Amino acid sequence: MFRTVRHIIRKEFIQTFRDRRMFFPLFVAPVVQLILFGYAVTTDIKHISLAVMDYDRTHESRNLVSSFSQSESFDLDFYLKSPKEIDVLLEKEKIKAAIVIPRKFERNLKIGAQASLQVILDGTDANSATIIMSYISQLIAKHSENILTEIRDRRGVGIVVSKPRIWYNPNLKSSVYMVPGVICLILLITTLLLTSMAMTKEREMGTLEQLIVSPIKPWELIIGKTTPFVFIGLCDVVLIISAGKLIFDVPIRGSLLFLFGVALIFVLTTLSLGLFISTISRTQQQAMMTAFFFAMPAMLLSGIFSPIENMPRIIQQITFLNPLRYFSTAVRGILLKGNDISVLWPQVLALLIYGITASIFSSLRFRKYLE
Amino acid sequence: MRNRILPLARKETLHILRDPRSLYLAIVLPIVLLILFGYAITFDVKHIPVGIVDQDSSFLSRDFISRVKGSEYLDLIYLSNSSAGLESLLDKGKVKILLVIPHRFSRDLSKGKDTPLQLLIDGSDNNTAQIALGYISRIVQIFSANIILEELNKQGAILNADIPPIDVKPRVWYNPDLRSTNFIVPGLIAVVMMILAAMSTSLTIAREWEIGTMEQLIATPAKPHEIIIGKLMPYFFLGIIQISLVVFVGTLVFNVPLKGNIFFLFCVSGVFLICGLGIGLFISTMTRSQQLAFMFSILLTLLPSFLLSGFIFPISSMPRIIQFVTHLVPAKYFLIALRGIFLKGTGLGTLWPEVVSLFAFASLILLACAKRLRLSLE
Repeated sequence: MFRTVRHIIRKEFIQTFRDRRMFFPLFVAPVVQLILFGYAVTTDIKHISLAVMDYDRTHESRNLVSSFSQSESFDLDFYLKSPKEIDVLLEKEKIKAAIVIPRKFERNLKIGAQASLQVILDGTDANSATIIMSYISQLIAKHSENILTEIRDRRGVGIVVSKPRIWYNPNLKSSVYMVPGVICLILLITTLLLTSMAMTKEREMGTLEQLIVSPIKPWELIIGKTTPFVFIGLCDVVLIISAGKLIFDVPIRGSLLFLFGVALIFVLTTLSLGLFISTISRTQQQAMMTAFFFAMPAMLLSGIFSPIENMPRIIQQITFLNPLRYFSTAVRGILLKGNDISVLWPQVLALLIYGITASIFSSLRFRKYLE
Repeated sequence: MRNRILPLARKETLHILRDPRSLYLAIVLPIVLLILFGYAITFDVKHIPVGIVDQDSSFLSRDFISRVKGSEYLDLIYLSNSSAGLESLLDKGKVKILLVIPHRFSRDLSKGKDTPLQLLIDGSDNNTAQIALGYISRIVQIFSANIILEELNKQGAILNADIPPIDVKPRVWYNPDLRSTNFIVPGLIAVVMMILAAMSTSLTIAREWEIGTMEQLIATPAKPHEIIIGKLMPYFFLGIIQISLVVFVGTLVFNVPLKGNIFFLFCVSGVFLICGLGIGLFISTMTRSQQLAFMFSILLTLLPSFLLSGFIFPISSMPRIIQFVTHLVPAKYFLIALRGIFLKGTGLGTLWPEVVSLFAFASLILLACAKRLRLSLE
């Protein structure tokens, strides 16, 4: 009985790797992706090009300008003579922001009135503009504080000193955050998209009829066809974790065995969905499009790329229906925080319920489809 | 020659029309993504869950807490007097930041000494952590500034106690409300086009190989460039339909301003579409299996156009070597052009370097395809 399954598995492996180049996207690509995600995905902004228009030209205004030029977030590229230059520079995207220091800046500071400062931002990229604005305000708050501390040191006043301690990812590296994300992504692609395409392939090529007339039982076919992709997916997980450890020094704080357990429960859902899609698709292209249609929103609403807390409330509710959300929380928790089942039981339970319902439903549907 | 291209194009169109579901999905998917990105996905960080342990419970510490509460970026969801069971809050992800106000908080400050404020931050999401740290530092700085100012006023200075000495007046150009949809919609056009154009073409030719109809096509007197043009034409029109739809929904539903010339927009989109279709075609000349073609097109189009085009993540912050790689991503040029046309109304005068790059990429990839196709035919 298991011999049949074993033979189908072998056939599937041979078919997948008949073109040796398949090794590349399946095993090299995840590492390339990891490197891309680790290095390219950063929303913090460095080297922001700035222009300064200093009307005041005093000791205090130069002081402020120098605190911008010393910061590594900013590149002070232009010292302007006329405010008209700002328009041209922004238009040509030479600068992201311009700072205008008005006349009487120093005098206002000296007499204790408020000195104001104008900042002009390129808002085309709303996200960057918000971040740049917050950098500028932080720098100015710091500068303000320095002015105050100078006064304070003369008079003896205490202030609040914050002592931040960062847990789980002390150097705030995006690679540490992204490794769990890439694991989820790769498992989704291999188990959902490739499985649905592999099943549909039999139909498109007309070999499904041959399989039906052979004494292979439906469940043997299901297990035989899906096992190779689960195996490939799990190999990728090992590969990504080791590459993350070697290249980016990503921590592994929890139990890897537990991680594999959760991954197996998760792929129950994706495999079932892949199987279901193959029953409603005639060509691989159709299967790919349909699977992609499920996979894209699932990925975007999983919290892998953007935090769920920032989404509108109604969409936050919808994300509770997304199995990828539970899986990505679990993978992050296990790898970065060392969580075990006592913390992650709600996620595991949700994945179990999904997995069992989906596999019952889709294997019934698959049986009917074969008949 | 033309009467060889048209039948090929007609055959391909029939293929597309015979599979209505893929066609629907190809048209609905861009809209779904647009809605998701427009409504659901924001990369600005708000509502960061915060917990505070107030060991001091004094007037000053409560003043500090009320400042945290008042911030629109931080949500105070946990407040307690003792530090028991705190770490599990971070472990479970219930809070991202824990502030511990020590016993000596108000005593130190009233004596004129500095006082420490302990911050525990969940750093696993590095972006959120960094931004959250910035928010908290600003609150701490303003709080400190106020203490100093009040003290100075008591000592007879004339400073106004509620505002820091330097005030910032931001003015935002091009997108005054800083709406991220204005930025996302043009970017999304580029990403969606790239994915759909490359995936659909790469699969169709691989399919011909898999089924065995490619040999028949080769046996016909059609020349490689005729096959290429005939195969690409229907997908080109499909792409133009998708672009129009996204532009339509973007400007009407999401009110993204279209300041530039719409004709110029479509011209640039057309050139970009050829780049995407060309990449798909190139993939399909390398492989004869649909699965492999699919994996390659994800690898060569989906990820680069999401990550390396400047769609969400600013290119200038990437390491130099990756910045160099981004020059090979056509979506990058298209994105710059689209954002210019949509938000700034710029024309060819400013955007010519991007248009030239797209042209160069399109002709190179088509040449490469013709060359490879000829090789595989022989």
